[in-house]
Amino acid sequence: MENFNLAFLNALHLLVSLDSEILQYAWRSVYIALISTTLVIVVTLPMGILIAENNFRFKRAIIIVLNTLMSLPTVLIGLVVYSFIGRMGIFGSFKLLFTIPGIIIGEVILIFPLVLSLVIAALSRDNTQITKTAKALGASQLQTFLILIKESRYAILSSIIAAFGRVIGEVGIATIIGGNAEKYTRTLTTSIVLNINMGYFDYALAIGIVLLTLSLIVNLFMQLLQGSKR
Amino acid sequence: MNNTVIRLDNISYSYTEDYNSNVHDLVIDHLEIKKGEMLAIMGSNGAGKSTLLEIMGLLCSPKKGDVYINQLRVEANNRSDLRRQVPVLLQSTYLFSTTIFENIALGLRFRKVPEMEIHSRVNRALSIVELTPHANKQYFELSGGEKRRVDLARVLVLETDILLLDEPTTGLDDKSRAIIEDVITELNQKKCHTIVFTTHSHDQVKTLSSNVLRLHNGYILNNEQ
Repeated sequence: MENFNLAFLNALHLLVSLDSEILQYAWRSVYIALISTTLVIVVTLPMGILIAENNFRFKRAIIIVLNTLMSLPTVLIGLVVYSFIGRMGIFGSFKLLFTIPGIIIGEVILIFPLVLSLVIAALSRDNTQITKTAKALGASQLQTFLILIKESRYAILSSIIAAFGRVIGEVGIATIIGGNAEKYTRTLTTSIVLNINMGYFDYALAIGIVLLTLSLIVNLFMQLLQGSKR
Repeated sequence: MNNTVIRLDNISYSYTEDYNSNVHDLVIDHLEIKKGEMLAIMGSNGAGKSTLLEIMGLLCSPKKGDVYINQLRVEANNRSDLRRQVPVLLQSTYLFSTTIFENIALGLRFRKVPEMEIHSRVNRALSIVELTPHANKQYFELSGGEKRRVDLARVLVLETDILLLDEPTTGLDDKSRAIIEDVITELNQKKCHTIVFTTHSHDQVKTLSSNVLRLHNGYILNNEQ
């Protein structure tokens, strides 16, 4: 209990004093989460619409594979990506190991099945009714696509929140691929692990609280965007 | 002068009944709808009424046969353009998650109509279906009958010469039914619009339509004048 009290005091101090180290880790965490989530959304939206809109032979199989991939352990993704981008890997020449872009590649692989699955589920709900109504009013193919995204925006926002939360709280990929280098790749989560290993339990907890606060701010923002929904 | 606005030749299309998933073939050898005609399509559930209407509205493509809209044969490259000449009021209403005004304006925005004109046309359509006070309400604030009137206003605002209406008054209260029937009659009699609608109501057929087409299991039983 004493640890928790101390942690809260430390967290408050870190937040109020705008500790530069923590700010740097926090910014890095948010940056990685934002870029990974954006990249995945850009790819999964058209893919999700294509899969949700059409009935084809392997549709069910694709959804089963996506659902299975959602439970991939992050350390396994970290290891696989490491083997590809490490010095001896086939993409070794790109020098992505222990860099932020390297971490982003791992995070994209982590959240891709999650977001695609959620987008397909969101667009499958009412999509026939939406597309038929739009076409009945004279919408072109592109206008139908845009209206479908607009009508599913709340569900799509939920998948963005889920993806962002998954990345910002992720530690396995960030550690294995990023290497937890203090000035380059350390994030809030890898910093928590480091502090626990060094015995600074209260400090680790304090950073955890900072991380939770960040997630809260992002969720509040998303909630504001969803504000008009009844 | 040829005054045929919709023509179907040798149409064949497989459709599934909503209620029991039975698959039927809709087969139409030849059907012509003339300008200014008010055609009622009747038939039991699963007879193919909605499917026929959706084929006329270019919402589904028959596996065989030709569709002509205003004497133009529908092909892949003109399908989207011709679809804008035959708006359909679908059997089940789906209102988009925005205001009533924006729901009605949507079809005009698809056609890139100038904003000033959108305002005047939407306000006119709102007044016709007696929903002017509801213009700024959200879609979920309306009753079932009011939603159906919004649906009709969305089609009216497009000011096309042809309207395809799938069971426009089914399940509505007396007030909404009367408003919709009055609007349809006026459009047909005063403005000479071509209207094709599906219905189960014999009374409605007697009151509204000049012609009746009866369908059974995907086939035309008769075409009465």
